[in-house]
Amino acid sequence: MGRYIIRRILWGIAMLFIVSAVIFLIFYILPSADPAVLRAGRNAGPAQIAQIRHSLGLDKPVWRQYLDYMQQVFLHFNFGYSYQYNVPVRQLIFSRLPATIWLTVGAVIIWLAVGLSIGIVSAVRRRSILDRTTMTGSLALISAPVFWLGLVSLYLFADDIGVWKIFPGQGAFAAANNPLQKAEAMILPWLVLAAATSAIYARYMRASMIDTMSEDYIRTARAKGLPERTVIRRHAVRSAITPIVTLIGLDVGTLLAGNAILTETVFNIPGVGRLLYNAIGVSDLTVIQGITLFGAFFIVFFNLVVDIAYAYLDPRVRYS
Amino acid sequence: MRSRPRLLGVLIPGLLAMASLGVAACGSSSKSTSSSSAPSGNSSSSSSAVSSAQAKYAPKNAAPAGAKKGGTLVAIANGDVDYIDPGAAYYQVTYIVDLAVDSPLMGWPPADTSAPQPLLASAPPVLSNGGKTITFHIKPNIHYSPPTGGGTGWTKPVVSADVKYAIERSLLPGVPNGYSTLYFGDVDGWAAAQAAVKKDPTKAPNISGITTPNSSTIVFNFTKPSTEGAIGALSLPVSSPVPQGYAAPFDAKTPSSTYGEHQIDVGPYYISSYSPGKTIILLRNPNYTAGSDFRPAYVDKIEVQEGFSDENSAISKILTGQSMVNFDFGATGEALKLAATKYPSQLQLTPSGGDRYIALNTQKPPFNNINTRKAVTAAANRVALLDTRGGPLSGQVETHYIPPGIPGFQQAGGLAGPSGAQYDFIQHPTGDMALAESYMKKAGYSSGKCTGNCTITMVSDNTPPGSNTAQVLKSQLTALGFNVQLHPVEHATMYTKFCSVVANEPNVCPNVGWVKDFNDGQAMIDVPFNGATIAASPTNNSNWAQFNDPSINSALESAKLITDPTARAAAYGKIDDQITAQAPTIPWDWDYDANVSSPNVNFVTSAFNSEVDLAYTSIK
Repeated sequence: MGRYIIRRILWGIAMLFIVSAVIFLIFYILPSADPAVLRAGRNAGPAQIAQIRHSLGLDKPVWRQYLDYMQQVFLHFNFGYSYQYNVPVRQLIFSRLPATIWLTVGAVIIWLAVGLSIGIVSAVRRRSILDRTTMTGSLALISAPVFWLGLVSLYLFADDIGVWKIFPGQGAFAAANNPLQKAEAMILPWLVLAAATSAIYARYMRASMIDTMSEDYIRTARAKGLPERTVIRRHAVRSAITPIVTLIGLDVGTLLAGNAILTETVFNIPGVGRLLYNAIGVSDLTVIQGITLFGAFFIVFFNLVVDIAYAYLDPRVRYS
Repeated sequence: MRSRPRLLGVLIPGLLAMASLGVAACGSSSKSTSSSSAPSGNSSSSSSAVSSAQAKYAPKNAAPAGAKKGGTLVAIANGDVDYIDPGAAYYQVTYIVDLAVDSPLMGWPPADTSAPQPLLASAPPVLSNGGKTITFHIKPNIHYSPPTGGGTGWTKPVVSADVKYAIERSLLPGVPNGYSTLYFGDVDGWAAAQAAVKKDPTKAPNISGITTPNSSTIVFNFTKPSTEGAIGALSLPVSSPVPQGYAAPFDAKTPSSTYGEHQIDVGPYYISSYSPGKTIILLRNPNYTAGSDFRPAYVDKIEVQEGFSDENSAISKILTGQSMVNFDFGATGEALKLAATKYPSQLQLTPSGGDRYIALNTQKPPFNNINTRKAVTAAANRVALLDTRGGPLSGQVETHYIPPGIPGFQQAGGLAGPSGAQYDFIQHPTGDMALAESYMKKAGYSSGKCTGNCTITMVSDNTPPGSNTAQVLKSQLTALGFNVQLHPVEHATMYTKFCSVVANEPNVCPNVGWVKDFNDGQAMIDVPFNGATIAASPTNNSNWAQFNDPSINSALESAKLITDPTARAAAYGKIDDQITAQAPTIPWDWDYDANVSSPNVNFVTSAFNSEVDLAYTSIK
């Protein structure tokens, strides 16, 4: 087990290097805008632009720039400077991370609770009216884009512009002063972010449960006279949930990496996704690059966690 | 150039939408005279400069009698300031903050657009040496605020050397100022200082032409009398004092000075905290002496909440009293209609002090032919183009380049534009195809429409409203026989890869424009139409039409040296007409800033930048 973990960590680091090289190539070899000109602003002459290019190290050979960047990232945890905000990218990301964690944790809890419950019930009561209704409903939620669902929910339920003024609206999280207010401000974003994902999880869980329920060991458990509830809970769910764990790892990693960009933007939550949205809009390349690399780290990390969790959840998995 | 809602600066990324800026009147700052010396006919309130829409929702440029002190003012924003450092700040939206926390030598009371007033200076500047020397005396006993973010500040009072250092640090690459060289480039020793900073980019260079004979006097020596524009530029944040002893360690940081996050201010407010992209908190400056300048500073605290990307719902929040004032975006589209119809008393329309036009590349076919340019201008339905931004509530159809309120506007023909047969192509707001075809024939297209190789390239914004403007224009050009290859790209890409790069510029850039730095003709038309700027900035060019007419270049250089306000306005008005006659662009929008406020706020608009004036706005 220990050797497996070390191997996975080394592989993860190698993966981060590969990702960083690809990201660097994309942003520095094929940039959508000239960072030095962006920073120099209007009216800046060639000399001023050249000086800024030099101060940013953009006049060095590409391989040198890459090595400098990686040296800063791995030795000093320095992701560079934001052209737009004029502050270190690391500072920006860390200042936005708490809001994204708030959003992610709440949404994950909701989508797991709702998605897994519906998936299990639908699988157990296959082809029932409940099964058909929930699966149709999940299809509808999967089809609804997050930004659309977010705007509709705001226009229906937000306490400022909503038809029914029930939940705090856009910008409420940033204005909240205590955890209770923050949680209240997150209700709509949590529900919106969790809606489509819980629907996906419900369908995955249902399919996985149906497969599992037809396994021989389930039949054996029933033949032993175990109550149906015990069969489902101890044998079927534990096995069926294994592929779901993989999904959770990836989903949490990507959300922390800024994948909640639409939810954070619609609800004005000052998180990593919102930061990424702003950075894309103004071609703030170092921020985009930093968040992408940061996201890659989260995904690699959570994948590792998931792989290790497999050992606990599925005894059939062996790491040798 | 234009970029995002009411930004003055441009190229920089923060360009999410678009809008506009400040109002004006005569910006010819008098050296030794007060604002009353403004030439007549240039006021922004001049009836010929005001549309019915603007008259109905006229801006309030003064606090009401009996305005109360106290309370917290909340402003909501989509984006952020460009730079929190006053030495680099260049967006009008940033000036909203700067007008409340900084004290440049000169400043702008919200109602006075005729000329900047002494702010840190104790009196208007004195010109001498044939107009080549400007002398300011600064007020005594001005003290700095606590630093942004906390920490030990600077207890010594402001001295003239602090103003000198503030300007010198604007040459550092870590303080990317976009205008200091433009207006102070003729200061004696400026070039040497630029060379010095190239050798050591961590230390602000000495500028020999700026001297401080004593702690309250600062003297600017120019190599030629181009001082009028410089005086206007000294009303911008770059001349707000920065003590070298405090700021130098921050300025030594690379690649960027960190002074902005630790700045000390001298205005009635100071930046207590700044969280990029999230909030800006202003508090009363405890070291500010009330009455030391014209700013009354009614509210106790100002909180700018950022990140409201859905501007329509943000406007609704304000109108319904859920928030208080808009910051970096104005009401547009449906939100503007809602404000105008349901909350008219909460809406203020202010001319932005800028314009929008469609740049035609005059250096390559087919628009290197003046008749082709006149043809497409005549064919353009500029009312339809204006509709892409909100119709009459969003602005007025542009007929020349100096906008309402700026000196030279009336001299160039006012709202109606220049008259005479040579201007017929600009006199049909909804377009005139017959006239357009006649110009096409003069250009050599015998059928009146383009035949043969008629492919032209156009690079536009890829998001509304800019993308909509481009689509409407494309259909209008197609009607003249052109095969338009439209390439919508991100706003920053449009500038830094295409429209501002001389070698890559397409035939048409439909989403450009200009906003004055201050109220003066030079600040409006020199950079975008002076041919000298093309070679000076081949990869960051703001002369998008690549317009290069030697006689007009010469006239622009001569006008810079005129110090008499009336003569200066007349000169720039004449040059404006000369440029218009050459049809380098299709001018189509003198736009408004549409500001809104909640019912419990006395919203005061600064006529200088057409934004909320935080130091004058109060809670009812």
